[in-house]
Amino acid sequence: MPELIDLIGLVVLLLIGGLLIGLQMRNQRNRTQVAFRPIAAYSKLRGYLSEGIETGRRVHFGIGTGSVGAEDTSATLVGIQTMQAAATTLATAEKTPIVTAADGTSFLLAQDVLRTVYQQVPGAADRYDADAVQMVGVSPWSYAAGASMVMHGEKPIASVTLGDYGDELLPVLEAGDRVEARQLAGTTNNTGQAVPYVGVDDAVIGEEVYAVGAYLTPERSAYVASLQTQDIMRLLIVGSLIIGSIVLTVLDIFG
Amino acid sequence: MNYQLSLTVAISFGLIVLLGYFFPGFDALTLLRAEVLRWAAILSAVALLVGVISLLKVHFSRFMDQKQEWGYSLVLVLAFLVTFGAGMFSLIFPPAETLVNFMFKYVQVPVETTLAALLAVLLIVAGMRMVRYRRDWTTWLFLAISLILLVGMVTIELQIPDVFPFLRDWIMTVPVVAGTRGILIGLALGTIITGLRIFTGADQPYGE
Repeated sequence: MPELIDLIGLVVLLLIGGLLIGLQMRNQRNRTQVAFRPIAAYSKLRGYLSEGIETGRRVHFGIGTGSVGAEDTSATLVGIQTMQAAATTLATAEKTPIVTAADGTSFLLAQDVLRTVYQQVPGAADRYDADAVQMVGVSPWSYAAGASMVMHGEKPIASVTLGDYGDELLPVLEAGDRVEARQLAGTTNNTGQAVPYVGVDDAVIGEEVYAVGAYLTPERSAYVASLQTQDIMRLLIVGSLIIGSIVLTVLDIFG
Repeated sequence: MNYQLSLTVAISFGLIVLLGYFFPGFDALTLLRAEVLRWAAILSAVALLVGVISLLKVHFSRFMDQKQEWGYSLVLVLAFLVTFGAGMFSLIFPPAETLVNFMFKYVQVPVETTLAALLAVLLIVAGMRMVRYRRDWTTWLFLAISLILLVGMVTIELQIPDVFPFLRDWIMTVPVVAGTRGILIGLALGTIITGLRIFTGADQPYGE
């Protein structure tokens, strides 16, 4: 039988899952329109994609140094999801966006997703370039070296680096700055948060990384439900922290 | 049809791993979970191999087509061949295993360490650029806190006012910890919900 801590984990997971599905069904039924607070980085991204189409220059997507199947899976999926949403727009452009990965699984998944997007967009299948997705390194710092080299070689009009990145993101951002690419960056790595903040004008901080789907995807009821669930859970956690602190303080004084 | 198959496989395997984690007492489920994870490990290794072959193909093409900076591509291909040869040599003559270790210790590690050592310089450059181009209150706050921390951490004997070490300790133990925990909670919620979205089929980050 599961231990108590696992049981609590399972209950919390079921609670979040139930909330997510319930809110998603409600949003689909009521066709809920939700206004999001503006995130400068995501607002500018559409402009960057348009520039990519107009100028014929490629857009670079870094999907992080994480993999699919380990604890950094969700961060890697966010990077791939961003690339997927943007590639739907970029599929009309002359050149395929370039994607850099640091793990075999994320590389294969990104390649599969990009190929599917190009097959789904009418007339885009011929423009798909299988070498557009590259595994440029197998460790964080070798990725930094490889991705910097891709930036110098391709000179992309814009670079979007979202995923699990640590300090190794900074050389990539510096390389992007040298080729004058418009840049958007964010990481789910706690120790790496300062890097995009100092490295680019439009940094995505903390859990904003996970909100990318709601800002970029046209069919977004699932993503809106995700944000609503996150907000509800956040309020519950904040409430628990405040009540817990008060209770402990009172017990400390009178107990 | 392909789409439904992908979705069914993804959800089924997710369910097996999740239930196997929460109910370790059920032997059949635990065994099934271990088997699925073993498959995942094998697939990861194959994926890595495919990734390396793809990387080689890209750089070999760059070298053959004499594209811009093809010299780096040549170095990469040659380095791969030498490392691969050393690995094969080690397989055939096991005592020569030290050859791969030698290459890792005296080539790979120093190169990566050098790159990491550049971080301090890159951070200063990025910080200076930020101060130059993004002049809002958050930039000044960032700069002020960075300076306080740097001055507060000086270890050589200087006449530094006691207020700097005090401020450094307060910043590190109160605002930094509070901010870090806030970001961690947000990231944890985002991670759980991203996983659940894929698990429920609302999000399909895979092709057809």
